[in-house]
Amino acid sequence: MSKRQRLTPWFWAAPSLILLLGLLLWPALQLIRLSLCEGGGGQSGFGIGGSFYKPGTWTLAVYGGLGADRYFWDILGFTVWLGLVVTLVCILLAYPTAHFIWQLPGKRKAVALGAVIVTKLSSLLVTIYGLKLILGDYGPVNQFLQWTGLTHRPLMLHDSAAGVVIGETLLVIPYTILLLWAGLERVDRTLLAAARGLGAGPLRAFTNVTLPLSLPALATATLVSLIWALGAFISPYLLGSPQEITLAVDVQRQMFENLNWPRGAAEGVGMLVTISILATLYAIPHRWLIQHSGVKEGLA
Amino acid sequence: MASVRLENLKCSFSGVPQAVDDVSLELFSGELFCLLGPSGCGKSTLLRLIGGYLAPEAGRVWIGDADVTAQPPELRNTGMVFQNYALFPHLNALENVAFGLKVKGVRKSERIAKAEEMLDWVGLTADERRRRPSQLSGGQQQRVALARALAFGPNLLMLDEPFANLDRLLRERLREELKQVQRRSQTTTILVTHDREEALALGDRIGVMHRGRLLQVGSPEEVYRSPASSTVADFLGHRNLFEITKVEPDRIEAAGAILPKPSGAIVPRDHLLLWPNQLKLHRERGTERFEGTVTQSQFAGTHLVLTVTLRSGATLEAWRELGQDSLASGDTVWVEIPAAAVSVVKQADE
Repeated sequence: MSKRQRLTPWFWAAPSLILLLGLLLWPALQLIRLSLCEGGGGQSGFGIGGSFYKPGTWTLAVYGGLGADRYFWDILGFTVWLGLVVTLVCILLAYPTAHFIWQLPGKRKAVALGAVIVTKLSSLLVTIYGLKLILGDYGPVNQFLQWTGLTHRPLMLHDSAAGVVIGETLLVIPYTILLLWAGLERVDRTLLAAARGLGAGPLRAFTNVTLPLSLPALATATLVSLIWALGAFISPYLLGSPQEITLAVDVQRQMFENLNWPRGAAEGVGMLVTISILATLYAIPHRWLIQHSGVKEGLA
Repeated sequence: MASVRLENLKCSFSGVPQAVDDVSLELFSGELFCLLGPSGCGKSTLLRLIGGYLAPEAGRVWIGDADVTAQPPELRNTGMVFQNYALFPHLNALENVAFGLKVKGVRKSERIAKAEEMLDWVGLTADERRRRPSQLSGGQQQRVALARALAFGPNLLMLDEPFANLDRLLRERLREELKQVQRRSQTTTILVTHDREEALALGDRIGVMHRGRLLQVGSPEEVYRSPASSTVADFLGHRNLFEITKVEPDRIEAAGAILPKPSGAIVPRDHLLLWPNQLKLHRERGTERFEGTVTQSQFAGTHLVLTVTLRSGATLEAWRELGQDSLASGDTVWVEIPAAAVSVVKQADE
């Protein structure tokens, strides 16, 4: 291969690489640097226009403070709990939905997929505020529940963990559905006919053919949903009570309410580490799922 | 072993109003039936109706003594070899073959033994049995698909263009193997193909389908020697098919040639079928000989295939044994049409 041929892919990849390096890696390094400064609120010379840190102030003090802070561990715990619960709920709800969409004939399939994507067309804020109204004490959900007599007073569907889970699920699940659907779409329908012909009922055909063949997509969808859910910000911010705070919310709080930039940065790093650890741990079952499915090519 | 009976089956799709149009057919126990037709003639649809993968608009499907029209595929106990084989990519060859038995709840040791036996039948090596379909060649996949379709003891074996994706040599070998395996298992079999050679070589009986209708059913020889209509004759590859333009008490006219009238009732628009191996070509003029020019000469192993254009403009094909004095393109010939070279085919059914 000539030098030119070798360089061509780099040439085309350059814009996105520069974007990634400039807008992700560089700020991430900045974040780490920031977290290694002296902490202590707004008085220490941090702010727009001023320098973000004082040279020669490298310290692990902020991390020490974090480690000793129960409040931080509670937030981290809730973040991970929320991530796992939302991922689980998303997968459980999205798989049947994706399967349903996969089975639809051409035109109706396009409509169904459109309906999934439409939920992503409005701003997050609008979606979550809308949800706040729906889940409110006098919102349609509570009204309906009381009308049926299932409940006698409004359920705390907002300002509660339930609200946060519902909100975050609403934000993440379109991605889960689309990924699972894309994976199912690669399953050859003739295989299902073959399984039926060999004596398998619809359920056996599903568990013996569709499910194993969709494991790679299931694995990918789980990972993507998990990463999204771990970064939850808007729904805990708007739908949670002070107990339902995620790391992302607290980072914002530390940075812009307490003006404690190093602390915010350190929590940001903590989030990064948590996501990395969970993603790495997840790689083990992920690999198992993919090997077990026997579908070698591609993840989705 | 069960036989199969189809009664007035009808099926249509949007865009294909009569994919299967009033088809009735009976398969005898243990026979290999070849369903022959051009692509889009409804033959694959008919298979799917028999297998229960599609529901007919009208008509009934009987397998053995049971009316299975309303039954889903899993209750019909039919083995299907799909055109793309449809092997399960996440299972190896052995597991694929054992699938039908596993679903039936056969014990593991038993179903493995049965699957091994079936793979012995189709001649897959021990090493190949542990491979996944993606690691097998087309011919091996085809064998696995056949073994899988037979392993659970189906009442009926169905094959949808099973050799379409294979090269010619392999196709011919697998054809013979299929026939052997089919004889051995004595399973009633229906094979769908658009390849007339395949149908003629394999079938105990064949059926010719066209535009959703079953035009003729019979032994390969019957169908080949006496096509029921010009459509059938055309599809079987008979080139010398000429519409009869005039019928007189003792003469007929076709392709511009006046010939003695063959026995039997003939009406205009019936077709004359001339057997290329019976036509005689002469270099000399004579009575009852028709002048023409050789326009093409092709070597076909045991004989030459000559294309002769008659004065009337009609083109016909004549076979000439090797070793006779050679005729080349451009030569003038006189064609003799003996009575043995003439068959009459009823007019097209459209």
